[in-house]
Amino acid sequence: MFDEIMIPEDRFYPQVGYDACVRLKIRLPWYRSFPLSCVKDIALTIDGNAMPRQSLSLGLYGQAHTLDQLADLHDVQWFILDAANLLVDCDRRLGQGQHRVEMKMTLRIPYSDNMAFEFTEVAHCTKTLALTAEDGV
Amino acid sequence: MTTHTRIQLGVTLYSFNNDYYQYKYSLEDCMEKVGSLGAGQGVELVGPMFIREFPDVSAEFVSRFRHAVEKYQLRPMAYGAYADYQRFTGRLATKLGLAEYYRAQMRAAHALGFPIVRVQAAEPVFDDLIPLAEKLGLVLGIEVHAPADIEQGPGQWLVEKIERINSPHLGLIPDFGIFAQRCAPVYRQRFVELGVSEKVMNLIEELWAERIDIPGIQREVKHLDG
Repeated sequence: MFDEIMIPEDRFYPQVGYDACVRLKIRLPWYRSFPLSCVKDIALTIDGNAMPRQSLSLGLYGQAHTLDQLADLHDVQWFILDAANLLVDCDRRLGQGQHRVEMKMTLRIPYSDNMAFEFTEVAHCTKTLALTAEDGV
Repeated sequence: MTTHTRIQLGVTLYSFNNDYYQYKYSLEDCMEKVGSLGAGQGVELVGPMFIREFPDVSAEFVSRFRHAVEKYQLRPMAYGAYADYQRFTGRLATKLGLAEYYRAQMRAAHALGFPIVRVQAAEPVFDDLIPLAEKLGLVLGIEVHAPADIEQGPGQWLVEKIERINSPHLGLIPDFGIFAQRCAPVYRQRFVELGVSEKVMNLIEELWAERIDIPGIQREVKHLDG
């Protein structure tokens, strides 16, 4: 749901003070808020290169969380109208200009009352984002 | 002259999903649109779609919502609540946790002026929720979705349970999906695109039409795939 617009903007932001780190805005691809524990996984490729899982973290409400930490955050609601930051620790500096990004977010939709059945949704989004020299907000 | 029927139509604010998600309509804009249909429109609010503090609610949200209800002459009808059994990783919500989660939403619904709380089947806690429903004057309506049914099949145990509890504070809310005869082709197509074989798709459709419950469908599909 809302796959194509889960990356709401056309740009990366440089992460001030970290040369090889960029961030992009992401939205929760569903119609309602979920706790962060329901974000099972995020996968990202930049120009066809898959970013290692441990290079990604999610910034929300002033806190950055590794993807592994999300599983325990059942008390942090990601409000449906709020954009989070996906922080990407690249192994080398990302050049200025356009980059093709592919993102996949796997959500556990927590409706099943049976542990043998997990309702998961995988949202996909492909988009070209620009990295410019100016500092982000 | 107004004709009174026992069933009246209302609007769920869920229907503004697309425009709301894309910041085209705020909560107030959605409510204004409902009000444009005429005074006294019934409204359903999906809690975690609009309320930042879900499952609780802030005084600020209550005042915003009540102000818009008054301004656009709406009638709060139903609050959409959620059980969210699997909000914890690796385990289901406990019975106590589930009851508390629902109680928070019931208090929110009451503060917002809703008489009905639409809940998901949460069989173990219905009895525990009745006292608060009585105290707040709320009716809990358990939603019934396809492939459940209220006349036969998987929804039947719910009907029996509700009859046994026999409280004016507990009832059923049939989702219109229970009247569907088959899956919409667009859904079918989506799963085929995700890689589900025609053979499996056909079997699922067949079982769904027979109102077999989800665990039953899973068993049969596992069988087919070997």
